[in-house]
Amino acid sequence: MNGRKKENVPAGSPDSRRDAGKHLFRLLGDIDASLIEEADSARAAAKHRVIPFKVWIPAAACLLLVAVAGGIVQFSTNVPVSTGSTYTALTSAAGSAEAGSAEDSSAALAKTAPEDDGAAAAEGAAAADGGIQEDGAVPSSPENSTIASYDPSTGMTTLSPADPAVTEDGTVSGDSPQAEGGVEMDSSPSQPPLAGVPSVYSAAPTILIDGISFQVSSPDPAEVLEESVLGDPLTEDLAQIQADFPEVEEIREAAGMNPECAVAIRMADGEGFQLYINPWYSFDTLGDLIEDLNLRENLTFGAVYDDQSVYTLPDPDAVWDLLLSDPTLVNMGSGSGSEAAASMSIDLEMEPSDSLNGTLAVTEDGYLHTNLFQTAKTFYIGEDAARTFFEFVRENGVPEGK
Amino acid sequence: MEDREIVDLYWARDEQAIEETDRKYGRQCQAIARNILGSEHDAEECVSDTWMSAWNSMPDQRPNHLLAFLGKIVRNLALDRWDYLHAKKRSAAATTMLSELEDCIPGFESTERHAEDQETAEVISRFLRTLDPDTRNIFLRRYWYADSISEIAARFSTNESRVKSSLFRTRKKLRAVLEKEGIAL
Repeated sequence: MNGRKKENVPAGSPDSRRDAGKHLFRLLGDIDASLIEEADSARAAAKHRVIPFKVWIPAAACLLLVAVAGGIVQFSTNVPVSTGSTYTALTSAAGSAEAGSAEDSSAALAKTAPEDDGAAAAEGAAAADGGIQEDGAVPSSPENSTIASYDPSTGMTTLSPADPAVTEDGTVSGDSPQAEGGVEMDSSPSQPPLAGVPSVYSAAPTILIDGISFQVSSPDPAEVLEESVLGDPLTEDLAQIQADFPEVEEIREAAGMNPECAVAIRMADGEGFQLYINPWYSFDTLGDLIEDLNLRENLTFGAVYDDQSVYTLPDPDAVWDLLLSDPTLVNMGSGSGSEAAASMSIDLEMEPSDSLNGTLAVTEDGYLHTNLFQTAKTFYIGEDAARTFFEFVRENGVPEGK
Repeated sequence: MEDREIVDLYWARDEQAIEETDRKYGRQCQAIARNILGSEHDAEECVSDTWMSAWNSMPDQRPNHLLAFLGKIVRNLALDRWDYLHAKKRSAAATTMLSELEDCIPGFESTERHAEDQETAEVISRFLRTLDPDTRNIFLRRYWYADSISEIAARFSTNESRVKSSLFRTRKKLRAVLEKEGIAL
């Protein structure tokens, strides 16, 4: 095939796209042969490999048996073996065997954040600490959906969503494993029950797609998506979904976002397509967050706040360049990293739905905290990058009222 | 037997070449054809046609990487057969996989089409080399080997959601690369 389209097939039509897809498939046959051979024997890189249950459970069981046997031998022979230390060593080994998937998380965190002992006094993101009132409350920014509170005893500020449906640490109520931070490589497709979901969300529709619960992002049934943000229909598994949820009429991609974390669903009795999100979705890196939520197209930066002023940035690209340029930054989850108060916070506005809006907080000790997409995320950018951003805003931002 | 030795058998018109090819690469070729066609019977026919095509191609050709050479043949033959079966609505095995690739198609109608498919393939190769190994291999296992999502998840000891997410991101990046290079498909 030489890339010429059929003359009678309109460009952009489903047939045209299908032909192009098949053409691309054939083109892949001509790529570098060494890449193909590498993929032939490819398995997960060692650092990503998790020890499956069927390996570590028997291993742990064997070690436990040995420990018990050692205790029995000591009892029967009255040999003064230090059972405690032996038991400790053996159970530590068992613990290491079963924690094989967690060492990657620890390593990743250790590489990316200095002296992070994970002992943040309060969970969730730090927020702007300006305008702290006598009772410790910090006024919420007028346009975002969060409230910041300052604890003088710890020096920590906490972002709490104004929306009662989301918990203090920024997650949808019913903490997901992903919110614990670090690289999560073994999340099961099945999810824990959404325990403790506030009533406003417990009544909201939830659709199971391929084992993943998608929850409507906004409780307002009148909030429907604009046609311009609707993407391709998602037809795989639709029949099965409709068998379980007959009210589902159609599912489509939404605003270029990864269908694993957000989709547009039209119900039989609905007024249009509503945004459904997977609140358990885990963004491993900043790059994942940017790509999966299509932030380059969907995200708009609002006002920037520090303890004295509210600024408008003349060039929003500065935020991308100064804070969000490294896609490899690891998501440390909620309650991680910073022991400093936030120096600045930025309003984040998301297409296609205000329900996804949030705040990006930057701390003096170099952490980014955000509750974008309704879950808490933390990235370490370093003190220098944070300081550079503060200076840029104060020098170039336009203070409100001027 | 090394690829070079098998190719020598083809050039010598020794029918043991087919036997050695089947022994070394029969499983992979059968799997690729089956992944696309969804039928063991159709896949076997496709693989037989592949051996015939290889026999007719060597000489003159002397591929350095026999798997890639055979894989290209079996993929194209399987896709041809899939087209035929799909027209008769008899096979949907590769429908989802092929529809996913539509995400990579640039969003413009270029008035200056890229001259040679080989050059396009080189652009794709260069792009794939920029990826980390797991991301690259997940992409190739899906769109070169036509593995299912579940097979890929098992191979890379992860879950299907992560595989889908990885593929989603890579398709987006590939589309951006093709658009930047001005390649229309």
